[in-house]
Amino acid sequence: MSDIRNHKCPGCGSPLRFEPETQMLVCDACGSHFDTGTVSEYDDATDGIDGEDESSWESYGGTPWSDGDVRVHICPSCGAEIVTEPTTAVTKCPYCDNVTVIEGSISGALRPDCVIPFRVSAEDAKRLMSEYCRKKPLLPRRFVEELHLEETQGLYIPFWLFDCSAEGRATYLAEKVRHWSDRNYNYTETTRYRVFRRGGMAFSKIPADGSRKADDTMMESIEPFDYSDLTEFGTGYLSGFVADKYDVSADESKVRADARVKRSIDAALLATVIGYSSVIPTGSSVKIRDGKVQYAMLPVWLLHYNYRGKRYTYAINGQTGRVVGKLPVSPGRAAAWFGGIYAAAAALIAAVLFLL
Amino acid sequence: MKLKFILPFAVLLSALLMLLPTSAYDSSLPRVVDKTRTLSEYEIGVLNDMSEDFRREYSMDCVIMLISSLGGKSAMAYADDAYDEGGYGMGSDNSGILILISVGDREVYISTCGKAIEKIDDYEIELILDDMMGSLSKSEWADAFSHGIFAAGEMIERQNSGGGSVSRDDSSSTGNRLLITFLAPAVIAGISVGVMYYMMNNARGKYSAADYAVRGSFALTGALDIFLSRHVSKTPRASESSGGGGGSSHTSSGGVSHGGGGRSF
Repeated sequence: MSDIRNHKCPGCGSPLRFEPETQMLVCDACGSHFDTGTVSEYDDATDGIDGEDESSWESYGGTPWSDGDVRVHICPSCGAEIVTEPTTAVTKCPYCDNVTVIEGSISGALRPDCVIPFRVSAEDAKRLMSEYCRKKPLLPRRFVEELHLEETQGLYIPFWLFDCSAEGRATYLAEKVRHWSDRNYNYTETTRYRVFRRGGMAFSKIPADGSRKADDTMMESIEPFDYSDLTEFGTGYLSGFVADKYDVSADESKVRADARVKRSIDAALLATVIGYSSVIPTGSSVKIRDGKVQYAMLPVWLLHYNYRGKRYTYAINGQTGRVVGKLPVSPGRAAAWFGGIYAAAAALIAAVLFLL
Repeated sequence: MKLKFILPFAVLLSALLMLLPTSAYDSSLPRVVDKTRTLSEYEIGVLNDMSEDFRREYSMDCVIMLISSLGGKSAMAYADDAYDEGGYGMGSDNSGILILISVGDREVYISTCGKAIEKIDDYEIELILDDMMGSLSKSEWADAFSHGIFAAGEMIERQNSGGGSVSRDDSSSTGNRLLITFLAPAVIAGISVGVMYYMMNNARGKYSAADYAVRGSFALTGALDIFLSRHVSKTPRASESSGGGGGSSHTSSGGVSHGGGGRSF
């Protein structure tokens, strides 16, 4: 007579049966045997692991601008609201290059908590952009000749910086494979394990841009910023530069931060599953706690260029100098390189095959 | 006094002679054995000269045998036994080759022994047989033998000069070589230009927040590794043939190790 218990097999998920003779839990589906303590510990550890991830962030209050702090310029073309200090004139929209910019009144915008000041000067930005173009063999020659580097604009882009701690749980199906031989046969032993890991880590200032006009992929590509330069915001940092006003709220941006935290936790837990020939993740969940948000202005040089009817945008990290953007490809140059490499490789291979 | 002086030299000379490999070469044995009596005297003379040249050049015996029938034996067994029982071979390991053509069975077989096993591998045996096939199909036996001896000499020459074995690529057809000459550069050029194209855009999103993890903050708070099952599978081992850099080998009925290969024509 055997008892039916409400435990599931860690291997296949089928119900387990308690076998009084062996005092173990038995899976009739896959034939596995487990001691009751191990199964109870596994059930406790993985309870709810296939449910929704959880994240808990404080709602961002922020500080409004004081009257007279800044001026707002609105681009009638793309809708960008550009913030400057009162003495800075805006002659062109930094996002779309529209030259008609009208003044407006500041509303609903929050004063940034912190800022990373520009370290890369306008001259440095032009030089870095030239260097970025220099080592590209497929770049059309005319593109470099006609590039108007002087139109590079320094812009403080609004970013939300997320601090949090996160705890993750994950399960895996892992295998150890061992080979050996005797006189007559080759043997392969495959041992399967159900693996569980739980761990936590803290994150500091995960950035997510708060501007719809700034391309998210491009803004992530110019990361990372060195936060040792992060300082309390003052309007003096806007002198000679312009700043964008956020139009993506912290609540909307945290979805991107959550996704990055989850991937990082998953990767960190997976790195602890060692000693196996193969490991397949089968489930995971992440709980994000103590989430705090800061509103920051981060420095970026932007350059727009229309080449053969297509618009190209380049971003340069105003602190580290990293240049990001897609360059046009010259079909003629690509064909010439293909032909040249083809001819050289064909000559070499023919020499090896037919002459040596 | 004189004997005292000579004796050490005699002992030393005897010791040196004992260290030298024992030469099993018996020059009185016929190297061209024609049991069909179809080869002309002139052909036998030429083949004998080729065999003698082969022996001098490579320090290996070279025997050719033309027979009417294998008498129910396999070509391999017939050739191996003929070599062993005929007392052929040079040096302590009876190095040499025997080329057998059975006219009635229309089979050809090359048996190698001693150093010839190392010098001529299985693939090279096939190349030698390839060289002989044109003459064999026309029943030009002497011509087939001369092609075989010459090709075997070339293989050994290549090994001795440090060129290694003939690889399959070396002898692949001109068509294959042309195909490689045209296709491989296209793949190389395609990959190279593909890398250049990839370098034209470095805007790629970040999927992880690893850059912003607080250093040293990761803590593993739970770990369970539960054994589920163990499965052992076994497959029979492929029958082994001794290789060691040369051709594969087998043991003849006389217990001597031979290499070689053959085919029908």
